[in-house]
Amino acid sequence: MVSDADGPAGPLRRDPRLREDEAVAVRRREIEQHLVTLVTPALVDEHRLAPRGPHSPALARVLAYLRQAPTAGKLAIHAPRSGGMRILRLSGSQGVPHEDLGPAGVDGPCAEDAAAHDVFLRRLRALGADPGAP
Amino acid sequence: MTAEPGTPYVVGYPDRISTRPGERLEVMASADASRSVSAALVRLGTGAAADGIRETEVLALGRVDVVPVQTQLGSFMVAPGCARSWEPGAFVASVVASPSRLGRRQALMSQVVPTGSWTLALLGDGRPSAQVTFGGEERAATGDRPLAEGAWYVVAGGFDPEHGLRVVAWPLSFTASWRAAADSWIERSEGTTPCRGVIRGMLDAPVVVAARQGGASSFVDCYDGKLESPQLLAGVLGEPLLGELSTGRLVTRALRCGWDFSRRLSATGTSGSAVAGDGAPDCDGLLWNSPAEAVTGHRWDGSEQDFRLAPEQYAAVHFHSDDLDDCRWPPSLGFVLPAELPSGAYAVRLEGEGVADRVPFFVRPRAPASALVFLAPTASYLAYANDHPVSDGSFSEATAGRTPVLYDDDLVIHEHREWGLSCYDAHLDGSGVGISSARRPLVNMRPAHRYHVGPWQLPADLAILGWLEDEGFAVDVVTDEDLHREGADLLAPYRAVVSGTHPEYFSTAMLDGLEAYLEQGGRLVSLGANGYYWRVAFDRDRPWVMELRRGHAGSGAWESWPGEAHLAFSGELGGLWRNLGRPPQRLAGVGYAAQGFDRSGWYRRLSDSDDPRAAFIFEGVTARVFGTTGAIGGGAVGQEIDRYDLGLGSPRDALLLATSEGLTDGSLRCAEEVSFSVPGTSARSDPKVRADVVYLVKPGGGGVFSTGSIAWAGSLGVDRALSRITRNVVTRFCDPAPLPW
Repeated sequence: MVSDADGPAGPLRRDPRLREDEAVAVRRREIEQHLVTLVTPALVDEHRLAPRGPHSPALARVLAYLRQAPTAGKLAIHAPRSGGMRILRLSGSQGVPHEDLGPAGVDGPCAEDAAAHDVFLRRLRALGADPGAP
Repeated sequence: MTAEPGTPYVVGYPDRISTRPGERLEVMASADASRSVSAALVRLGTGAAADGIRETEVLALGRVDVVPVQTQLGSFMVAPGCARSWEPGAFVASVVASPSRLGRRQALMSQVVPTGSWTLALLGDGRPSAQVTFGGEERAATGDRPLAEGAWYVVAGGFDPEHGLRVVAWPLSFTASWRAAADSWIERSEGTTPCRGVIRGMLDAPVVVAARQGGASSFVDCYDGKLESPQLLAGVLGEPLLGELSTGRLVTRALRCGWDFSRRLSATGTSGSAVAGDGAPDCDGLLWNSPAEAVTGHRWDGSEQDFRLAPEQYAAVHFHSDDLDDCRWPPSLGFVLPAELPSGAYAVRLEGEGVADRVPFFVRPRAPASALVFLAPTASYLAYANDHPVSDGSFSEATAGRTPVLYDDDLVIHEHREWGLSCYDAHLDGSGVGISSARRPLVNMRPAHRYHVGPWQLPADLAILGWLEDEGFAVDVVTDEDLHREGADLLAPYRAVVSGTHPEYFSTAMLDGLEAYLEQGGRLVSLGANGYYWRVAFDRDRPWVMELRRGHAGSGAWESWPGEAHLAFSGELGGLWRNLGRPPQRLAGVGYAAQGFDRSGWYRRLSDSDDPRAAFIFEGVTARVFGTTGAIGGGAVGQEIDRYDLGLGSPRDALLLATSEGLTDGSLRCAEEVSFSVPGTSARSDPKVRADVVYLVKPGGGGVFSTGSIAWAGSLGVDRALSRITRNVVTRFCDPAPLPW
């Protein structure tokens, strides 16, 4: 996000992108405050059992928001040829390597599903929700 | 620990994708470090499977030494003939510019010799600058205000040996632009620097536009944005000349050399890379890496959307610092394809020292040798080449409905942007990528590659070829680029054509050829979905370069800027074939309906499936439901799906054999059909979100069987009923007897 201090010289006193960022931030706060109320132990367990669905309306709503997050800072799964599954934080910049956050929690019969649940829990915590014990 | 640069790799591309036995093929390769690898010719999609790849080694090619090879990224123009001894004296470099990405140093025009240089540049803070270096001295005149992205300016630099340097950038008014209005805060910027004797005049060197020569064979400071009328003029940058430059045209009375980009725009579009120069002889330029042409210039007033009708309004070229149309690597390996090589999908396998690559290409038959031909969708492979759906596209996880998985290949192409982008990516300046070239490594066009939603394009299509071989069908292989060149004549020798899983991109010539083939009695087994969807064009002089203009509707990753929906390579309007009057439903009976990647569904037979004319299709199949198993999403209906639609052109006498069930809210109606913002566009609410199986016979006796699902191929050899249906269709279509109708 660009700060006022980085705005262009001259009569443009504020980078117009900051205006848009401010409006988006208000909307995100509104949306996220509602989504946090949907996060219950039952919802978390629903995701753990079936990350790819089908999902209840509440879980679908939470996932729809999480999945549309901007690329910079978003979590993804890396399945290296050498084996295992790892969590990545996407750089959001072309050519800038993604950050490796370490192995995914992969307990369970399907490693990809377990990694997806690991990502889901991390995203819920970032949202300000309490998904319960990891 | 990060997925750091320097991930070990070896990677390559062939000198062409479609070949014939007995021809020589060269492979250009590069690696992260000097490596010695073994090379072998392998046939793809056949033989035993290992590590998820079915291949058969055909010919050992010995060892190959591969070294790191640099790639010149970024588009620009070079006028090499301008390397001459000009008369010493003051000169002016001027260009009409609309920068799209400030924040780093960029060259607008330049000349460089071993002992010095001059550059008309934009600095990192967006200020224009006229700069010279000579004999270790550096001088610059820099504007007092930065330019604004998206606004149009004349940027002129005066290089006067007696009095110094001057730079002026003044905004031009324009009638129509949604990118940036003529805001009051867009102002003139100018600066002067007195100096004497630093430069004598223009240099004995090529003139470079939109970049600067950095070394013997490299170019740096590549510009992002549009340029018009670059020119070099004799004289000083005074008020009279400023007035003449304000017209935005070449100032012919003082012209040393200049380039009017609109002269490249003919009634049939552009071709090749040559730019005719004005002024001194031998000033012609050459465009590198296919910048976008037929783009709106500063005179575009919105009254015309077709560049062919108002070329003077489209006199700009949009340069990108991340354009690429040819890696220009030297060959690492060359060999002659065996004279008796069967037609098929092949690769040169390079492996050793813990790295491996398979460089795919296709081998046509020396002469048609079977009743059946597989049409490899190479145009679609190009569109998706080096796609970064997860690393770049925030929308991809939402459309896929699942947490994305990145593989090692994805990290490599994320790090190595010098191999170019896909038509699903955006340039660094945010504009959509409309050019894709085959002369570069296509890292996701590999047999083992996994897209974030599973096997996609080539890897999925190899399952079809493998199944056909397992079932004992003899099949030749040809490509989209062959169809583009040869039309219906390419397909005429064959009883039936089998499509790939996702033949999404079609040129006019390709579509004309396929339609003519069907009208002449040919048969099409359309095993995929979302086919025959977008129009593309190929450069007439550089057939390895494909262009796409997405227009303003459709399910795609970006939208054309206003006035820029016409393809430069042909002049035709781009976008969906549906919106160009040739919907896929008319060709294949079904057309794009929806997409969903969470889980696949299955098919349920409808009453038309009991029609006696369809008896051959369901011979040996009693089940009313089929396709309940498959390698893609667990069923045969999934990823992208097509449906029968009378309103969109499905033939009225076509048989609707089956429709789909089992899809979830993860399958959503295609964007072009959502005319108003309404809820309920998923499979659980919208009955038009479905895949249909259709069989039809054309008036000329040709036949089409369409499955309406990309995931169908994943059920071949897995779902018994589906496999039997497919076998029945392919067998009957290869039989010359007229189809029952």
